[in-house]
Amino acid sequence: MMNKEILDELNAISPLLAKKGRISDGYKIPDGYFEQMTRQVMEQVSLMPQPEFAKKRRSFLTGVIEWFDLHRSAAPRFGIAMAVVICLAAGALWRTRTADPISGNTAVVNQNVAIHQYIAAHPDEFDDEFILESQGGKYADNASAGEEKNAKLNGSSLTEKDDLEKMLREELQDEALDGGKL
Amino acid sequence: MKETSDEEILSLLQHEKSYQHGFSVLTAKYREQLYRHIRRMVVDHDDADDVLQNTFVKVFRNINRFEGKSKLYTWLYRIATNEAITFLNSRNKKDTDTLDDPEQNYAAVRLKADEWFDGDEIQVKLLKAITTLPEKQKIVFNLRYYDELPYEEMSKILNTSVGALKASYHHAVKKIEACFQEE
Repeated sequence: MMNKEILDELNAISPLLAKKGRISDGYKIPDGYFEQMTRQVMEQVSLMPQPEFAKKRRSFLTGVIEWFDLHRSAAPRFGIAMAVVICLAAGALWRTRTADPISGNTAVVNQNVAIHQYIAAHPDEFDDEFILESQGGKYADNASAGEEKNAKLNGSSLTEKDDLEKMLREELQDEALDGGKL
Repeated sequence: MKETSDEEILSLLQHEKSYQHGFSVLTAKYREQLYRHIRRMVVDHDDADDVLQNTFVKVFRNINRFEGKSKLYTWLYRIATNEAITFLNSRNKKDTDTLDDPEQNYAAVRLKADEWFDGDEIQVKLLKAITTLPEKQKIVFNLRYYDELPYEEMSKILNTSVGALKASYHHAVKKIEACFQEE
């Protein structure tokens, strides 16, 4: 059966030919010819080098995309994409969790140092007893430990401000002792 | 069984590991179409077989040059047509000294002797009429009448304008009609 468009065109040029309908070519093909021909061609080309573009270097991402193209039925794209997203999310969560303790300790140390510095800079706001307690107590230990740790973290020795604080503390301690004697 | 799309074939051909497989899929998909196209040009089965094998070898070597601007079968038809023309030119050169009109006589002689042709009277009449056409008109007629290709695709295969192809087809049909009226 001839395509209508082609038949109409033929009819417009030659009604005589169009009336005969589609005349097939009458050529026969030997049984199994195409299979045999394909085998022969494949034998010939198996000895030839593959064209260049088949050996092009591809990026990892291109490789992944092409792999999906080749294995559409074996690995549904959506499922794989979801797995990748879940892996990325788990990685990000793990990173956040492991980072917390470190940042938390640093925050505590920084906070202690700030309080200690404030007390040293404003001795008038605190009574002597509190200062003495803080010098010999737990808080003072924490503060000085914090200072040392902070200094270590910064990779430097104590600053001039720290020296001044130490001097002030000693003076206050002496005054307190004198007052006690009187 | 679902036929492999051209996109899938080209995707297979872009990987070193799947290249051979991709090429065998391409061959299986287009071998019959191309064989018929070549056979109509060269007539003899053994000649068509040689030209078809050469066509596929050429496709294997040059598939990296296919840019995807046209359809894959258009590109394959173009290679097959060029291979067939090259073959006919060399055959005609050999036969020029012995025959007045090499191509027409060759077809007439071969059709009678060809064990792979069993056309009836009207088919023989049409094939003989086609052999009287100039080479380009013969190809245009075959592509339009037998393969039923749109002019746009034929234009890409033969690198000729649609208008020129329509004119060629018109002349070809008129000549064939004249052959039918003579007898």
